[in-house]
Amino acid sequence: MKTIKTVGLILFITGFCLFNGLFFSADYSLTREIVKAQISDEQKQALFLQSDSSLLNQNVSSVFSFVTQIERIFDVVNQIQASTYGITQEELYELSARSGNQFSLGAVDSLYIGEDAISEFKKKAWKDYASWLEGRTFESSEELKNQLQGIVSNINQYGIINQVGFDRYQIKDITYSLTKASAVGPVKSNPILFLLLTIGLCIAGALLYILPKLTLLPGIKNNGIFFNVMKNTGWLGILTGTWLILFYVVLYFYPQYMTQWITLVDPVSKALNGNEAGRFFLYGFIYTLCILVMGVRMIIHYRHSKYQVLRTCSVMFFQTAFAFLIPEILIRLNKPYFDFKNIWPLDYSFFFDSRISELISAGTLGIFMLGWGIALIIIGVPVLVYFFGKRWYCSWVCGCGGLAETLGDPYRQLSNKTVKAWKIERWMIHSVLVFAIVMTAGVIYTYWTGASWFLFFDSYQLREVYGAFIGAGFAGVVGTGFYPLMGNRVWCRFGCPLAAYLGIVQRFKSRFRITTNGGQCISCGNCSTYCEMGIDVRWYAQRGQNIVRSSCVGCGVCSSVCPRGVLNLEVKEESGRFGKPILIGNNNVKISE
Amino acid sequence: MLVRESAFWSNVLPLQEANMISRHIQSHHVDLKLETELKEIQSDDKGCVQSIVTNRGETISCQFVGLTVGVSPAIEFLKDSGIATKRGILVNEYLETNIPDVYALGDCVERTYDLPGRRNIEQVWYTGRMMGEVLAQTICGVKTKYEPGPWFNSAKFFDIEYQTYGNVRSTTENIENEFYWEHSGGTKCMHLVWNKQTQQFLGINSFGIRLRHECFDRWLRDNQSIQFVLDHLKEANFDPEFFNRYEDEIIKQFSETFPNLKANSKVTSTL
Repeated sequence: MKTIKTVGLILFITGFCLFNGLFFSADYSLTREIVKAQISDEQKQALFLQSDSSLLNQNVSSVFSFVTQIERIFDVVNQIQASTYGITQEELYELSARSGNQFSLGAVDSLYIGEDAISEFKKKAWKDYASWLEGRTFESSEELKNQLQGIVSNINQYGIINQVGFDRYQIKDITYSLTKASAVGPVKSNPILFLLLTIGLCIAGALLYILPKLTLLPGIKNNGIFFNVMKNTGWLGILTGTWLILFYVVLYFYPQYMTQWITLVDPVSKALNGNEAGRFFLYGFIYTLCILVMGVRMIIHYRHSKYQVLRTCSVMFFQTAFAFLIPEILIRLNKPYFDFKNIWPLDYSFFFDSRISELISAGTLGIFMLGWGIALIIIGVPVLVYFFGKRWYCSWVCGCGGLAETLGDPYRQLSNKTVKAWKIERWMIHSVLVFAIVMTAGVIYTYWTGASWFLFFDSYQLREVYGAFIGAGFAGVVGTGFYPLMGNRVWCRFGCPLAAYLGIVQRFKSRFRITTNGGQCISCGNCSTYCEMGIDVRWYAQRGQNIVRSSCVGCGVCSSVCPRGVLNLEVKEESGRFGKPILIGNNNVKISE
Repeated sequence: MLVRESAFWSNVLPLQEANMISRHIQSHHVDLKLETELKEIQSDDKGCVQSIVTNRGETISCQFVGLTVGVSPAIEFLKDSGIATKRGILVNEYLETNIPDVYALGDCVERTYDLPGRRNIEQVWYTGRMMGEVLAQTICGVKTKYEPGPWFNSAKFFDIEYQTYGNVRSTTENIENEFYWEHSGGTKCMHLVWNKQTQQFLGINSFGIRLRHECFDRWLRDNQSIQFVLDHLKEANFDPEFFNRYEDEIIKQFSETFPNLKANSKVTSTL
């Protein structure tokens, strides 16, 4: 058995090292054809090719220098366009002189008399950016000029880049697609082979490492967990956390550097949805495999408990079918990408105008999806939490929860149990919920009115801040990257706005509770130790009080690890749910509340 | 592992349970040598243990020896203190010793008064905790008697959890009747004891099935009958959701063994 485990470990490490090595495995050669294929706008395509041709047909061996050079080309293009289309100070003086105290777009028309593209652009830009000033009278011409100065700088800064240059989203997208298309190397010529040699080898190795656990008798086996360099924030845990954090930073913020990894899964993506893989296809693919392989480990580890086995099968199923396969198949059928189990505000972009428009324009199915998503928020969550507790979602259905309960299970003991952590948790998670609600209110307001300014913020800016700091930074980088450092539920505990919403319902209106069994607790503390949400379960158990906490995801591990059969997840009538602290077996003793 | 008795812990557990636990311990690759005692510990030239010799003449080499032959209060240091002792420190129902403001509790205590069904020295975690709770109240100004309710205890033997409520002795007494059920898998069993004449339920041992303390505490206080306990056995189950339930099997076997004590599993809940 030991040999099989060792072989598994070696295979896994080999596959993993090769996977990391592939990051640097390609050379990059940009050709005219690639540019034409990746930049669809012909004018911009021509600009890109004209501005700097030094990179064309060159062989660049480093992805970093290749990306830097591409980004420089975009800079050059934008500078050229800015000097061509920019509104000059002379034009501004002239316009304000002609306007006097009152602004009129007629003055703009009389200023640009030419019919060339540049004059047309400038006329249109003034109309787009200054029409709201039409007919307005100012105290002085100086004041009007200041107002116009602001508009000029808006046009020069954003208008030109948006219309005739490359804005930062385009730069990011095109840099990524140019890099991916320009790569020349072993992965591109043989993606399936390398997929098998990296991820395939990792899966085989992991399974060989995990399956021998079957030779141990069923039952809780956490021996030596706090002496383990992986599971007690030893060097291996810190290394793993660092790798995960770097992976997420690259995935969310610098995808242009990881094109080799994405190319690996191109064949899988083509088979499923017909398109080349994007970064989130790669992520979803690896994510699902982690849940499946580590789900096998979870099932073996807790195979004496039917609750744990069923729960793990459930998260494996929902991730594979609902989060991974169904959305890809929908794309293949030309339907909107939709994860039927994802719920706002975890799915924070659900009300974004682009997504709502996509659903509305997708016919009956799209309308059903929209209705389904809203029904989950206003009916699904409260009703199911009332009958089952928030666990129906957090530890049976959710993808974040699924990863935490499978890949993250070996780290559950690292969660902080202090009262201080609990305080921080409540402040943080509810702040994120408020943030999500305010952000979404702004988004919906903008959708209805078309105005981007809502109350005290710009709804476009706020959704971008939310996406970067909460959606990517918190949920991804911190949420998973900190598994080996702060336990497997960092996101679910401190950040997830949906968990906050589910938790409020669970705390105030639910039949769910964890019951303690009379006076049987021996204060061993296993329950608190293995509570991934950092609940000090023992504090309740040793005074014989039910555990009703908004954060409890109902994973049931406290009950599984209890050596004396003290803890049980139960749904019963609401009355008496909190219970009184009682210690059965000792007459005359009352615990003050 | 050397065990003096014919099965593990059979001086406390009835033989059926003791045998089941013995088998479970062996399945974990512990070489359980039953009816075997330690005769000699042999040391090497540095004074460290090298091997032991059993009363059957077998020599087993080893690096350390764990000796668990039972506990008795270590109270020699109190010899000259004036505190009254016998086998343990003598206390009354308020856990007071013979000297004012000196209290004693826990494993080292010997009660000077009898409590039905309980020994005067109780070396169990729970009794220590309960005495602590009582004494804390007394010290905080509410003078409180130590009056434990019906006996309960629990343990875990490798992967098998054990709970007991009331009194199940290693051998039943004359007036007692017993019923034993064991699951075919050999890791779960239940042992019930009741009074032959009155049918009053006296105690239960449960291995591998969690039971609700609250139910058995109440049923024991209310002197419920064995029929009542079986009728309500399902309510007392404390196993997690989706776990297999064995009450029907247990009740069926009970009814077959004791046809005149037919249990009715369709009794309404008492909770």
